[in-house]
Amino acid sequence: MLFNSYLFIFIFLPLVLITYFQLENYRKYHWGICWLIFASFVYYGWWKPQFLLLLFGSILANAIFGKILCSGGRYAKSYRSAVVATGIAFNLGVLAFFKYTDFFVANVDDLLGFDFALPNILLPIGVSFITFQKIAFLVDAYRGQVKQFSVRNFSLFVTFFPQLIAGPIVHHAEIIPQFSKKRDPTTRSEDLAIGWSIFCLGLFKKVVVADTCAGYADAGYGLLHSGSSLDLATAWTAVLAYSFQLYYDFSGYSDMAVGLARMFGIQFPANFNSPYKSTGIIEFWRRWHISLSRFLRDYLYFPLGGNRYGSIRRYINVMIVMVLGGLWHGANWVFPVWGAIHGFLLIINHAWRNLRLSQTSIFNTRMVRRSFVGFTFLTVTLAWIPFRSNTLHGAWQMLNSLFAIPLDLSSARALLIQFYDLRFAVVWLAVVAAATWVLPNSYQIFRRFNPVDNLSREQLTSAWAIKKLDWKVTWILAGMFVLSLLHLSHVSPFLYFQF
Amino acid sequence: MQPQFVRTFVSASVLLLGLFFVFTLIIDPYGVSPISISHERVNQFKPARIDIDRLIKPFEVWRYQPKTIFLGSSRVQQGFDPSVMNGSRFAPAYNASIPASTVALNVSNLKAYVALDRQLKTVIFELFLYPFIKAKNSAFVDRQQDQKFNFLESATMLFASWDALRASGETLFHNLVRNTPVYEIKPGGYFYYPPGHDAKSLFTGFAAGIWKLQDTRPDMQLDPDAFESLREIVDICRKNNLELILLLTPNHAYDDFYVDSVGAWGLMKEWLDRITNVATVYSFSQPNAWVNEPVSSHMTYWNDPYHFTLEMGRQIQLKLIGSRSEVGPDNFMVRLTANGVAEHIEQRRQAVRQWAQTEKEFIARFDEERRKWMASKESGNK
Repeated sequence: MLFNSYLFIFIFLPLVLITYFQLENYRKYHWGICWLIFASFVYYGWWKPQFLLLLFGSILANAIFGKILCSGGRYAKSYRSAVVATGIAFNLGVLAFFKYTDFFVANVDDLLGFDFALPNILLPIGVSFITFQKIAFLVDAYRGQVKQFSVRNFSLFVTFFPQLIAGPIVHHAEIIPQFSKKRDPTTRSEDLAIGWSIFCLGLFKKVVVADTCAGYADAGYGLLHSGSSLDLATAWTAVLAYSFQLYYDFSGYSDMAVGLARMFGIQFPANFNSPYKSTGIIEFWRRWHISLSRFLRDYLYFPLGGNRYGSIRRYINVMIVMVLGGLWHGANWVFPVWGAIHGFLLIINHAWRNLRLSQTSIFNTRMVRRSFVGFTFLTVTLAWIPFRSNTLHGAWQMLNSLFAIPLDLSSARALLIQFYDLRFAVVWLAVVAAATWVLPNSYQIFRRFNPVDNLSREQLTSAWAIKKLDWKVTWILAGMFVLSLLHLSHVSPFLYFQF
Repeated sequence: MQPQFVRTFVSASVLLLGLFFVFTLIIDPYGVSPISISHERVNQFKPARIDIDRLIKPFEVWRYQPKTIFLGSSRVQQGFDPSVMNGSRFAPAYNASIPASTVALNVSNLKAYVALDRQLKTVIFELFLYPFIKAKNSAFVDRQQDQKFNFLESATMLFASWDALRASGETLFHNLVRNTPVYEIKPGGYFYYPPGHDAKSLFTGFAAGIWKLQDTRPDMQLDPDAFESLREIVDICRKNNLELILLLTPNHAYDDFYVDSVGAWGLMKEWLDRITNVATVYSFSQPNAWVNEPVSSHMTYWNDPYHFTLEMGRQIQLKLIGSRSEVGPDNFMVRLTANGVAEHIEQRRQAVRQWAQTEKEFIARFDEERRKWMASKESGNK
């Protein structure tokens, strides 16, 4: 079930909300939690019910591991170490089996000349996100940072449907305590209004902005994959369109997740904070997929040694983290390559920051900072090419097309006319680009209502912040909602579902 | 504040949706609105009613409940205005053909039409050789089979989508500003060419285009799946007590020359042998003055080498309903049985070879393009 579907918006969500509110009215808070767990299982099982067994088994196993790790001094340290190692191995094993078996077999076949048949294992949606959440939980339980937990709250922490299949990768310490809070009715109506408003913004970003960009990106990349060549203009259109598609797809999804959770009184962390406004790659990764960056930092980069053993070791650690982070996105060589590109860019950025020259005032002028924003955007956009391409060869072809001399406007342009008007695409991308750099993000717009818990109001300062949900704001939101509804007739899944 | 938010939000959404529906139902860009108002300078011409056959045709079959439907490819879509059937036992008829459809897609469409149309009595199905030839890219065929008609989904796209709003805007703009006839699918389901169509340029492009097409069917073998689909069409008609008319539609000499030059008469014979064993075929592809109409910019019977005009389609329909106003050549329609296939093929072969002797310019161009194609194949193989 997709957030951007009639079924979710008009049947599932109202039903879950109404029942949850009724249980709150009768102060049946525990039943409310159970209801949300049940609803989340329905949500998860809607696509392939057989994966519910996997979800259930995984929760059960991790709850047992967690209970052992949280039992204070009852067990010896070596025993607890073995349990946490088993827990991590179990979770990574599940991920590896479902996500990487085909990839592994295909590579063994290629490298060693075997002819093993691909098992064609279907990837359960969201398994990558769930795995990381559970690993973080087990590691923290082992470190003594989780004192106690109930299986009920743990189950909801893992399955809560707004974050179940595409994040944010929430941390138990920021979510589980919220399940025990009891809302009063006045807060509830405000949560509902704010949550719904953020959800509408996210829906608009996804179905109106991202999906329109997707048409241009898919047409260009599709032609290239089918063996046609692209001229300079159509290649840049495809590459830029994909850059904005991914941006608004993920931004839209993150807003919808935050909005949905807020309707149930749960505050999520921000996962997306205008990353294309970053002045460098380091800043980019502090704004893009924030919860993944946090996980990789806390549970991979720091354990590897972080920056404690000198610059060289630090750069090696950065590269390891980014390559593995890339591989997490998918079982295809294009993803670790994408990760390696970002690792390389991060190393350069760190090295640049270590130079005294970078601290001079000339690099802090508004003009230069703006040029850094443009340069970062361009670099990130080019790095998306392997991310979007099916193969490294395809990525190389697209890269070549970007710098092809436009002498021959080739048959590709004629073919593209079947899909879209290039002039309209250029205008659309210009509007989207302007909106990306000029307009505030959703959290800035709703800063007065504390939309997320990991960004302070000061971090979200904006002249565009709304003071209250008055009739003007409501009309604008209603207009966006209606436009989004009209776009729903083209069903398209979120890009991050596939990871 | 919050109850007020909910009230305002709901009222605003309902009002905006209401405005959307009023606008799109009045402008009616796809010609499917139940209001059906047609106004000059507003929505008389419908530029958005094109390339959406798969969406609108099942919907219109349900809406108009025709007694007769035409099934087939773009040749049928461009050739048959079903209003010609008015007054006959076939009326009301509807052109439910889908351009570029495979035989398998026609099966899936027929199933949908049978379920949607309780008045259906006759199915007229077009026979065209190429959908029966194995395509290089069979994924395209598989994809077509997967495209099952979903009534609710189609209705949503036609009535409650952003596309409908955009198409309404385009329609209003076109009628207000340009106000000229456009390419569009007319209410009977057939494709309309606005005045000024130049057939000659498309005939000129045939010699080069046909060799590009050849790459899509390199083996020139009949596709068993297509025959299986035809058998399914026959079964569906039997099961639902429907009359099935198989039409071997006209083939211009250009295409017959191509068949001759690639040595595909044997293939054509095998195809017709197998089909005439399944059901009776009404053939309109015998060589005659209409089928071999000389090429010019404004042709009476051909839009291009593959697509015959509404006039040709009108005459075919008049012949089918037994009208006296039909004025076609003597051999315009032939009831083709298994026994007559060999003679039919021989007639066409001889006629096209005779025709070729008078078309030196075309033959030279055709051979030149073939040489180029062969050379590119050879260099590709190297």
